[in-house]
Amino acid sequence: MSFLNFGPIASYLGRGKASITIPTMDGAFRSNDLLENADLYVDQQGADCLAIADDHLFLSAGNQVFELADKAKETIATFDSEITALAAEGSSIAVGLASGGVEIKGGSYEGHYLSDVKCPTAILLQKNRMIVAEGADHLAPGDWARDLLERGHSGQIISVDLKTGKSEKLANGAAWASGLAETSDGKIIVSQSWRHCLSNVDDLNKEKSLCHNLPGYPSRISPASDGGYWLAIFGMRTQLIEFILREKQFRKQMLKTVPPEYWVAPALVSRENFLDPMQQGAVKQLGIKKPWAPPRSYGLVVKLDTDFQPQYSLHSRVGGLRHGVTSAVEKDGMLYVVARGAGQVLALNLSAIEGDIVQ
Amino acid sequence: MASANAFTRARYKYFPDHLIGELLSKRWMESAVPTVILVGVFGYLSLNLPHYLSPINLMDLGRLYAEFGLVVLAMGLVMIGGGVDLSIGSMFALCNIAMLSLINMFGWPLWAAIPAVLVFGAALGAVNGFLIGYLKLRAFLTTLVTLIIYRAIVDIGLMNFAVEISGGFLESEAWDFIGDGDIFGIPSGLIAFLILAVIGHVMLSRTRPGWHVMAIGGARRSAHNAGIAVKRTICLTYVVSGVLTALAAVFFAARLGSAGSDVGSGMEVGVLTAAVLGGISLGGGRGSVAKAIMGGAIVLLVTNGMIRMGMEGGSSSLALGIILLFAVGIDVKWLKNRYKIINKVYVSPSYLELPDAPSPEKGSGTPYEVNDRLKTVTAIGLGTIEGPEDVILDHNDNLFAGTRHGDIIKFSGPNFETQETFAHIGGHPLGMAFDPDGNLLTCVGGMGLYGVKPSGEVYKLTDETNRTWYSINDDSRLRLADDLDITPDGQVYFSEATIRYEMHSWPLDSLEGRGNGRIICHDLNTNKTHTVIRDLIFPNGICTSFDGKSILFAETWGCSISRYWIDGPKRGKVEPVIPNLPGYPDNINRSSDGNYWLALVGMRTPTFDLAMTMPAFRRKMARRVAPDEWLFPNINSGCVIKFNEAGEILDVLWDLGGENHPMITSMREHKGHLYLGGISNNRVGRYKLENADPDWVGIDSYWGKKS
Repeated sequence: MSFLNFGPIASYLGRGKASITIPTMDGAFRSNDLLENADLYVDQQGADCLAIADDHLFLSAGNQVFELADKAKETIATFDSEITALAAEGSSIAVGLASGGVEIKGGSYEGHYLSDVKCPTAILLQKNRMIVAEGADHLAPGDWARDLLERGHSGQIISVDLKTGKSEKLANGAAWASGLAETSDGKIIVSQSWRHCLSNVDDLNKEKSLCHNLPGYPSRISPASDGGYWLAIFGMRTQLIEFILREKQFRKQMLKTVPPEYWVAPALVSRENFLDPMQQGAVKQLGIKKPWAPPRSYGLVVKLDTDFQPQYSLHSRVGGLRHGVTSAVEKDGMLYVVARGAGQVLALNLSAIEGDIVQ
Repeated sequence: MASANAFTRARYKYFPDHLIGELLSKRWMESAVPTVILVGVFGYLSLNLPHYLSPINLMDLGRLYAEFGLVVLAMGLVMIGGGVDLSIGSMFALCNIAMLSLINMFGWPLWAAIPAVLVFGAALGAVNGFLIGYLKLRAFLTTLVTLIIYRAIVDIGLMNFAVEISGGFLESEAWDFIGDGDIFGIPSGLIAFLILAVIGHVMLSRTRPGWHVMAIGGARRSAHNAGIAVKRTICLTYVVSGVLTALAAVFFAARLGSAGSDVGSGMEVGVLTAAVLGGISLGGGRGSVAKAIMGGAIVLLVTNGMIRMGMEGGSSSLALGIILLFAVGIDVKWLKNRYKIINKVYVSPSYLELPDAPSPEKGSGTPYEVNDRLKTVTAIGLGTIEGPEDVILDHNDNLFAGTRHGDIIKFSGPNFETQETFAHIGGHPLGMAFDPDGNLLTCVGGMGLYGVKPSGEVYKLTDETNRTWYSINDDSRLRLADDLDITPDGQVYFSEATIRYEMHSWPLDSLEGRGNGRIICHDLNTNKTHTVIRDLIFPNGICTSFDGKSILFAETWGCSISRYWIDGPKRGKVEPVIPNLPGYPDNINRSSDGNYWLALVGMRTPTFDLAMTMPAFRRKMARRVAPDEWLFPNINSGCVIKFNEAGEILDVLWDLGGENHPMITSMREHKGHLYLGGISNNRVGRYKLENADPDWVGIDSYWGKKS
């Protein structure tokens, strides 16, 4: 009875596009506490994005870029506005700015690019080329929850030829593009948070994608040493949010009358504020918030293979602290993860992780 | 927007959504559809057929119906027991021939012939019963075979003795009375049928054999495990079926005296249709005499009406077939989906617009501003007690708390380190209070109002109140008694949070936001119980005022405290005390300085308040989203408030983040300390109060100092 899957009947019955099913956390997403128990590398409020170049590890937080080494941090650059994305190549670093545009420091292409891009969320910096992902064309990066609730899809992917300074739009209509990666054969892969998928830049708006129906909202992607990738997932989908995304009137009223911090939306951290929305399963039982309770915030990093298929994942579950993962990079056998909700950079030994996962 | 809200409000105020689910969950609702069909068919026929309502026609219909109805009863009984009897038509024909031959061929007197035929019918049924009950053959195939065999006997008998069987003519008034007689215009057969129907109804619904049949039809293996003689009972249903069929045949024989070969042929289809259409399930276990009566009447009226309207013989069978198909389809689908449908429509949220909450945030300047004074709470029985909703202390500093295991735990010793089970009640004890004799009275979720003597002996005070005549759900039984208090003259006032949900599904009531609860009064002197106030929004805490002239009560989802006057000039009136709290109030108790403590189990969130004004949204959520994922009042952190008679907030105690004592549902002051309970906690909290009377004991405030 496939006719029941369309139109108002589907909306009434909750079928087809009105269905709010989300994938179970099984298989590659089987939960563990690896992220929650990971070693603290650096404490930094507002930590957001990691980047690697020439054996250096960089971190952006607030309006500063730090270099991290031996559990210590050192400021190497300060900008006028909050940094929303970070990339590094050779001796240069590129940062996206909340005030708009992308700035490159160091190297031969120093300067300000793409001033009309309001919401840079991820940058892929190469020798002579830079690719920038824009979350939405009318919102600041901090307003991502609004974009989700408005079901926004106004992001774009722009390529800049650094030699000539010419820019070219590779794709538009992205539902919060927030991660970029290049495959070994030169294809650009984009993560779209609100479509819960990774896709080839040429197929952004098409049904087909490399990795689809993720259980959370994917953001930045970085290469792994085995040819695969690390995917940061900054928030989890829940039935309630999926349901609210299909309830126009409630969303409209909520956006209008409720302060943003109290919206029914994923968050980077569970503040345990008594004014936050709560789901029934999150009621503390016998003094404990159960790890399987519906998450308001969650910590998740996914290891993808060379074909962008999930292999395994690292978790910080409900009730934990290391939530809101916005970035994860691999360097010298270590995985560095930003838990933005906790304001921490974590370090995990990869050989130990694989031992844990394989057993 | 304002007008849209007004419309929504009016729509949810005046249209009783919640009744739909309550109606559907009633068993008798299943007879509603057949009733409507019956009335429709009867109305149509009486309008379209001349003289349909004339006494003669009705009398004729009555005679036909008596015979048909008896057979439907027979079939219904077998079906309720989980079987089916297809041989009914052949048995009917065979008994008809038996009756006629006994009186015409052999000249037996009626007083001997009729019982003989009934025994004969019983024997025919016993054949089916033995094969199906004891040898466990399939009912369908077995009765199909006996159908053929009995029919063959009829044919052989008619071939050889047709003339003799129907040849004679019995001159007997009694025989004429059975065939054509009436009492006050009611045909003799119909009277017999009605008497048997009443007996059958009583048997099936009120006696052990009837329940056994129902149980076997519902779940054969469970019935066997429960010790019911399954084989014998099944066999007996077929025997009774045979007797009823034989009785119908007697009336038929008396009325027509004919032994045609088509008597009773095809009867099983009509009877089966009638039973299923009436609502007797093919799967067994569900059905009643009333359903058989209804189904029989519909099928008889339809078939008879079609003949009367001059339709050809075939079309009547065709109609019957279509009706049977339709009825079977409904039966199967309804049985399968009934609970799903009820689940979907039972939860019926209403419109609840609360005034803007006073902000408890730091710097807001309201009396509710957050602090972390409860940081110093120490835990009693941490990890050894589960779900102490309420706590209470006696003169000897013993602390009593209920648990979700259905116990009342007693903590004693200077630091409450000794722990023992004071009483086992069985349900989760919620609110507690001591009566003047030192008995501990408690509201037990799912059970009612109970008392525990100082010796630990448990006794029931009440588990019911007066039934509201207009309510669809039976509201006489207590579903969720919550908190109580006792007035000086021995009246126990207690709240019942909701009458629509059980103890384990109370969160559903938060989605409804309707006045589903009530306050009930139990008189300790007369042991009588009656409902005092209805339609309260999750009434919870109850506390008698210090002067004993009024009680204070909290409405949890309504976020308010009200006063009910039980004495004085305003007696019987309800007036608001705190109309708009920033959170969800739970228990209320007295404080040593003449004021009241109130527990806020959780705080109102902007999103949940918004959802409460969107009933359609919540209903959809209840249908679509798994319960664990529902938007819910935030009850992970709350606070304790002190207020005075006028409803002014005097003090607020917070445990920010709920680290130390998540969820506070109750607090009790005792000798300078405050003891905290929480319905999903694993501890009882103890907080040292500054400037509180170090000798104050709660019970004394009610019953005077113990001498």
